[in-house]
Amino acid sequence: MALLDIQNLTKQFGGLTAVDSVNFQVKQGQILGLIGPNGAGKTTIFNMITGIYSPTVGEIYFKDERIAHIPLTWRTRLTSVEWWLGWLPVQSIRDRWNAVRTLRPHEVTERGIARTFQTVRLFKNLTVRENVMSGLHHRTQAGVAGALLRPKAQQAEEAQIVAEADQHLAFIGLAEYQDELAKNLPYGHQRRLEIARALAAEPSLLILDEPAAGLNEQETLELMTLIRDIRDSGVTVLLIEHDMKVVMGICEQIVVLDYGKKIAEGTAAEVQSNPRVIEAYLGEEEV
Amino acid sequence: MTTFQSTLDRLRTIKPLWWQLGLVAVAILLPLPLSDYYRSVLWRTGLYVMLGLSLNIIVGYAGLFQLGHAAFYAIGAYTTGLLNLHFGIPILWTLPISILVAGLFGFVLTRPIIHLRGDYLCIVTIAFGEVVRLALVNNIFGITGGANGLSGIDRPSIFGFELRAPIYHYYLMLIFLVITIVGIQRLQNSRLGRAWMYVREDQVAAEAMGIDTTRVKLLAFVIGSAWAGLMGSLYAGRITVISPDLARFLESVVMFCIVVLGGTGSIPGAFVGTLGMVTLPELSRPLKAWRDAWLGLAMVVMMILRPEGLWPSRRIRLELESEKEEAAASAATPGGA
Repeated sequence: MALLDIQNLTKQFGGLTAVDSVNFQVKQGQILGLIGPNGAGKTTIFNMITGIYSPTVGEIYFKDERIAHIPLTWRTRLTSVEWWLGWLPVQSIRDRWNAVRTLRPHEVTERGIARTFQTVRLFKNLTVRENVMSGLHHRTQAGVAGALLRPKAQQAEEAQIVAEADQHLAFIGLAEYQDELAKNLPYGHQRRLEIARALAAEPSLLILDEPAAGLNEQETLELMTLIRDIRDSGVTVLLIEHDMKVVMGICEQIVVLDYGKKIAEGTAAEVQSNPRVIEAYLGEEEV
Repeated sequence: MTTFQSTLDRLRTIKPLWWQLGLVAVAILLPLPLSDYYRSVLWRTGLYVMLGLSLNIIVGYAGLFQLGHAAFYAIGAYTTGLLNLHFGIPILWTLPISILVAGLFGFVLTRPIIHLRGDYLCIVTIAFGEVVRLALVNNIFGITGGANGLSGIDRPSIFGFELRAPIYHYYLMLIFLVITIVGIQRLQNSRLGRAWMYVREDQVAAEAMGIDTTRVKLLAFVIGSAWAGLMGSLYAGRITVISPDLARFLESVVMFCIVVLGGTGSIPGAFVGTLGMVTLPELSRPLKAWRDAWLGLAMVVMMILRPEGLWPSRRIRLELESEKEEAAASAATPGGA
């Protein structure tokens, strides 16, 4: 069964077609690499999976639930009973509304997809631990009343948030920096911290956008081990990467994009020997 | 400048409970040797500190612009005034109702515009303040009394004892001030407080981490507005005459300046800001006459010398510093970042 199923996905920005009818699947427990030259539309696909953009055409299914499709127009919204009554605590109406609407980024995260960003987007002025605690937000409850009255349940929850955050920090190997400000960490650690933060959201699919960018040889090797460890702990990984050593080293399945189109898919060996891939990367051979 | 900063940092190392209790004791004793006039000034100071703190939730914690805060202050005052005049509800009973009403208005007015950012949000909130003020001036539904406002509102009474003298109002205010400070500190150090920090730091990353940014920002607006509504009720109970002037734009600006001048996101900052914006102009006539000029001058000087405010929160200071660093870094590399 496919964990993530991307069907006929297209995204246009004005006249530019950034992603053009792309189909692929990510299977449970896989490490899938999405590669392609600059501007091939890889990050755009990520942004559509995580709900930042909505597709112009096509659909994305996650665990058999449609998480992205063409956004509803205001006309359809205003004329649909579900839009007007979707807030009512009636499950059948809610289900019908949920079936047609598009998900917002935080709802995608709630369903089990967490991501990192191409350029590190940590909460720079917060501590390392606070950064990781953000991942636990959607799995905890305390609201205004909890904050003001501090009942036992809220205190226990706070303690649990800290404890779980520390576990994730220990897993990623940054436990000693917990009270350091995120911006003061060396770059390689910042990249790892971003992964720890995403893992704290306990995703079933982890999306990494160029995790090895800017890392040195040693850090890249450590990253590869880390990604394998993450997969072995039961998290499926989808990654964009330019460093071919990483891609060929850890990805079981590779999807190659060029000018928004999928040009090849297969194992590392298959993709490497594919003439269209070589052409996309090296340019057409001159005769 | 550095020595001032180090004094502030040293103050922070004293065990909090001691100086907090000390401050409350000082606040209780402070009005006793003073005349009624100064007691009124103290009451006013406390009221604006709370207004500043309520606005701080929106501006300081959630990092959103709100230049129409006085509208909710006025809504609270009118709620109390109307309930008291028409239904004879005692002032203290109207307090929770005006919290709810102002919070509800906060929700209804902000829900459609919550997705706006920065300056756009700022402009719309200014418009709100004016809409509320004009609605009151135009005697909406024939109940707000037009430009004259409402008069003859009761004073609050506790078990039949009417709070008439300024000192009683001062102590009533003080109770709410302590509640406000404790409440705000708790909010700040909670799951919701952290969510505000995340949204302020990086909204896209916060969303990607599963934080419903719309909900979190709305909560900041609703809580801040609701509390401003309470201040309006306290005002109505003390002055007994209210007018649409409560929702003037200048009033919102003063509240905003209290927050920015004192230090965004900082509780002591709200005190410092109120001292500069409300108390000093009240005490000195020449300063009052020139208040608007002094307000503008103070802001200009502040923005140049100490943009983080007089008594800033450590966090906001860090954020401003890193913004400056980034600006310097992108200026150093031609072609931008």
